[in-house]
Amino acid sequence: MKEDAIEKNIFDAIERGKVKMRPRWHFVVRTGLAAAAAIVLFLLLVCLGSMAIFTLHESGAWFAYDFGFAGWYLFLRSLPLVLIVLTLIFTAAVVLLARQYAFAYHRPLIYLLIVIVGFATLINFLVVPPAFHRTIADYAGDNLPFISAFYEFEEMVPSTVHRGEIVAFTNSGFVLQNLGGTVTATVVFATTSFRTGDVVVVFGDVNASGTIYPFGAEKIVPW
Amino acid sequence: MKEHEARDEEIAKRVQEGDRSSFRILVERYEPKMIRYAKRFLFGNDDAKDLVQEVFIKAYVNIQSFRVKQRFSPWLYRIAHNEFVNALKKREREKRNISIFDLDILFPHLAIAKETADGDLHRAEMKRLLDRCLDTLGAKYREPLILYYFEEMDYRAIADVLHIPIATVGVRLGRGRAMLRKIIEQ
Repeated sequence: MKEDAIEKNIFDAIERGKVKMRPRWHFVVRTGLAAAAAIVLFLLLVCLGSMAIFTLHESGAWFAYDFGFAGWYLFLRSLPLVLIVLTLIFTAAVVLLARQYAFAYHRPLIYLLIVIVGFATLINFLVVPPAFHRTIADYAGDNLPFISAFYEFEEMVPSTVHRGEIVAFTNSGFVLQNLGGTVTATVVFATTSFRTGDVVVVFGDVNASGTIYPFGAEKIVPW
Repeated sequence: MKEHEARDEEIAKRVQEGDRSSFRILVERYEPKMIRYAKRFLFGNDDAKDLVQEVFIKAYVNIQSFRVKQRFSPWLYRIAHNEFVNALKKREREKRNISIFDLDILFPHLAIAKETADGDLHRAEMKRLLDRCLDTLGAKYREPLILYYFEEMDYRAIADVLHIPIATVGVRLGRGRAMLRKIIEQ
């Protein structure tokens, strides 16, 4: 092709109607959809992030890191990976959408990530009430099996995490009943800070006689 | 105001308002620049002129998305960049030089700290070296060097074309210059 043929080809195509200018509303709608998608994805990532923290808290695994290396190991094994991966995917999607605009791509990506994560955390603490997930968890039950799967805390955490209510005290510790009221275990743990009726989490194996010699136990203060 | 004195943005506005013939002025102004950019960025690519034609067609189709408060030049070069990068992706040799994500976009400041580029080379000398050695550089470093030295864009305009942080433009220019110096020393 000759160099000066470019102009001719372009205008021939325009004149023949082969090339048509897209109307302004096309771009307005596209920008609006992208903004709406970014907002929805951002709200989803806020929701999933808070759900991940909520499930960790409710299962009791959140408190494990207080008990040394074994506690950290247990905490990491208890992380709700599906929720975390989904949160990361949504974060990446929000970043991709935001980076179409100069305010986002002119600055290092790390700043954008800090702003998104910081803003999501802020909204989480200021706007999403702790009762929000509890309400969804209670409602989801049999109604929304896909969602309720995310709230089955006891199945998410390793078998060494035991969350329950103290129903009685013994000479060497206390009797723990799980929240469903179906399983009880004797916990050998000397403490003066727990009371009957407290909801606690206990970390340790259950032996054949149903006794736990935990390496840590903590009272769960409900959100 | 005479047509040839009008700013690109004003002409683009006239095109948006339905004056198709004004688009011809933009094509005439930018055709040589686009061909030069294509030939340097896509060296050895016989399709350069077809790609430039495609760039102008895409610019015409999407001109309503151009905001007249922006600068027209980076907007058009952005279209060209996308078109040329797509063409490069079709070339096996260049595929590995085009990545979706680079660490220097995440942490450009860390990259600057490690920078060893020589900023003493004069512009004319750099242009001469670039012309000789462009094919030895990967697309990631070749493109900012072309935009800076041959298209005479500032960092902000290059950032707008490549959609990367302004600090990253400096990092890539510095690294590109350092690579060129290394090649020359060898």
